[in-house]
Amino acid sequence: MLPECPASFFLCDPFGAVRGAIYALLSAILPEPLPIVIVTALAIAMVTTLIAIIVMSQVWAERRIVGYMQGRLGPNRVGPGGTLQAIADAIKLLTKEPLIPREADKVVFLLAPLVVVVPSLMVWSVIPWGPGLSVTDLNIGVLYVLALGALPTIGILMAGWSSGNKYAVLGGMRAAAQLISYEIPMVLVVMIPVLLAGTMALRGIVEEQTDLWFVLALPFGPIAFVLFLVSGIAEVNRSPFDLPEAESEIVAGFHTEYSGMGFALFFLAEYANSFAVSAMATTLFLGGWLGPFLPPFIWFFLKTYLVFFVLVWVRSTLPRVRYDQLMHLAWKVALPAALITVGLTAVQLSLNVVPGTAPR
Amino acid sequence: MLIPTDFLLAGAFYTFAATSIVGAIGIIRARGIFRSALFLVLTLASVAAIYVTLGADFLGAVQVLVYVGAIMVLIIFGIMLTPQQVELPDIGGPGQAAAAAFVAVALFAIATIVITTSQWPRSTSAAIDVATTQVIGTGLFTTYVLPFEIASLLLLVAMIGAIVIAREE
Amino acid sequence: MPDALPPIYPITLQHGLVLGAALFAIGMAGALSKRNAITVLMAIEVMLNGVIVTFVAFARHAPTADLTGQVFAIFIMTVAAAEAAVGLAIVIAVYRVRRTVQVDAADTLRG
Repeated sequence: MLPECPASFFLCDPFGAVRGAIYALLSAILPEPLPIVIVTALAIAMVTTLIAIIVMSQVWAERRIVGYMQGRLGPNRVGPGGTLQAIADAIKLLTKEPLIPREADKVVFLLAPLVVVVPSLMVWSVIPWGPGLSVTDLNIGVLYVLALGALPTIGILMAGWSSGNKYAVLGGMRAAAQLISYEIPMVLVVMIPVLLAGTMALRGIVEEQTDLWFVLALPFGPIAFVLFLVSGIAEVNRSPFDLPEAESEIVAGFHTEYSGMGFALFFLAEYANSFAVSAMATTLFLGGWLGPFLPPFIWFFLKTYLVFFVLVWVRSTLPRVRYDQLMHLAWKVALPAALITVGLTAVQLSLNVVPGTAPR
Repeated sequence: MLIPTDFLLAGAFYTFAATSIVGAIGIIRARGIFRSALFLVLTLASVAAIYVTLGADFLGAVQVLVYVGAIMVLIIFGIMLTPQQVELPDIGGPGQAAAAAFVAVALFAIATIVITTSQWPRSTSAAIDVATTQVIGTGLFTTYVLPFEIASLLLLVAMIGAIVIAREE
Repeated sequence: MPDALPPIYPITLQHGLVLGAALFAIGMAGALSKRNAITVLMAIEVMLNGVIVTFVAFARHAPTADLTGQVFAIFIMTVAAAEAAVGLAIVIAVYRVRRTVQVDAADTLRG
C-alpha cells in the first residue's frame, strides 16, 4: 500500500485542523450546543463560497474544453485565460429586464426557479470533501441526496405551467417525464455501493473503499458506475439528454419565458447539479478522498473534476438523443440492467465472493 | 444561556406543524387547481420535516422521495392532462362546504378530547438512538414479510391497472 | 375541559396525535366539499398523511424500540401511491369520455 498523507501533518488536512481548533476554542468559552452550531454555520458559509467558485470554474472549463474539442478556442478574453467569463455572464443576466408574460401566473412563475435551485444547493451540504470535512454527515446521506434530486421535477413543472406558453408546458412535461424515468435506475444503482459498504452514510461509504474502490469491485462495479453516470447525466438535463431545453427544437423548453435572474438561477442549478452528480460518482464509486501522498481534499477535487471532464467530453461528442430513444433507453435498457445488477450484487454478497471487501 | 435540545425540537415541531396545517387549508381554499397542488407539496414536505423531528429520519427522506417526488408529479401530470375551461363551484353551494367544515371540526374536537384525557402508558419519549434504517429493514424482512410481499403485489396490480385504464383505445 | 393539558415542550405523544387528527379532519373537509375529482384525491392524500403522523408518533413513544409504527407507515405510503395512480387513471379515463373532471360527471351507465 502506498503511504497516505499523515493526519498529523497540517497541510494534509488544513480545513479539518482549523475546524478542530475553532471548535475547541468555542467549547472552552460557550456552553453546548452553541459551538457546534457556530462551526456548522461557518462550514455552510464556506461551502456557499465554494459553490460560487466551483460553478465559475465549471462554466469556464466546459466552454474551453468544448471549444478545443470542436477545433476552436473557447472564451479567452475576460480575465486571465477567460476565467472570469462566468462573472461577465452573471452581470449580463442580472442587468437584463425581467419579463413576466401577461398570461403567466406570477407567484408560481417567480417561485419555480427557487424550487429548482434550492434542492441542488442543499445536496452540497453532505458532500464529503475529506475525512470529517462535510457540513454534516447524515446516517441516511445517500437517501437524502436521492430525495433532493427528486424535487427539481416539481419546479420544472411549475416553470412550464406558469409561463402561459404552449411550448413551455410541453417542454415542462417532457422534462418531468425524462426526470422521473431516469430516477428509477439511479435509485437502484445507488443501492449497489450501499450494499457493498453496508451503510448509507457517505463518510462510511468512502471509508469502506479503503481496500478497493467500488468501481473496481468486479464484475458489477463498472456496470454500476456507467449506469450511474448515464442516469446522472439524464437527471441534470445535460447533453445528450438535454431535450427539455433544446435550443433548436422546442424554443427553450420549460424556461422559454425566463430572462435575467430566473434564467441565471436555472443555469446555476444545472451546473450545481452536475457537480453534485460528479461528486456523488466520486464518493460512491471512485473512493472519494482516498489516495496516497496528497492531501485528501486534493484527491477529491481531482477525481470529481475528472468525472466532470468526462461529462463535458460526452456533451461535445454525442448528438442529442431523440425523445423516444431517451424513453427506450430508460425503461428498456437502464431499468432492467439496474434491477439485474442489484439483484446479482446482493446474491454475490450473500455468498461472500466480492473481492476486496471484508466478509460479513 | 443553555438552549436545551428539547426546546429546539419543540420549536421545529410547532413550525412545521403550522406549515402543514396552512398547506392543508390552502388546498381547499386555493384559487385554481394548480395552486392546490402546490399547497399539497407544501403540506407533504412539512410532514416529512415532522417525521424527522419525531425521530423517523429514514421515513422523512422516503416521504420526500415517494410523495413529493413521485406522487405529486403524477398528480400534476393528471392536472395538466385534464385542462378545465372554467373553475367549477363546489358541490351543493355554501351549505355543503359549511356542513363539511362542521363535521371536520366536530371530529377534531372529539379526537382532541379523547387524546388529552386518556392516560397514555408512556407519553414522553426516551432518546431514540437506533439506526432506523436497519431496524425498519429487519422488521420488513422478518416480522412483516407477508405484508411486504402483499404490498409489492398490490403495487404491481395497481401499475398494470392504471396503465390499462388510462391507455388510449 | 380536559384536566391535564400536555406541556408546551417537550413534545409528547399528545402533540403528535393532535396534529394527525387535525390533518385528518382538514383532509376530510376537503374531500367532502370539493367538486374537482383531483382536488378530492389531494384531500385524501392529506388524510392519509394525518394517519401516518399518528403512527409515527406512536412509534416514537412506544415502550419497545422496534419501530413498528414506522414499518406500518411505509405500508400506508405504498397503498397511497397505488391508490393515487389508479385514481388518476380513472379520472383521466372519465375525462376522455365526458370532457370534465367533476365528481358527479360519471352519472350514466352508458357511453
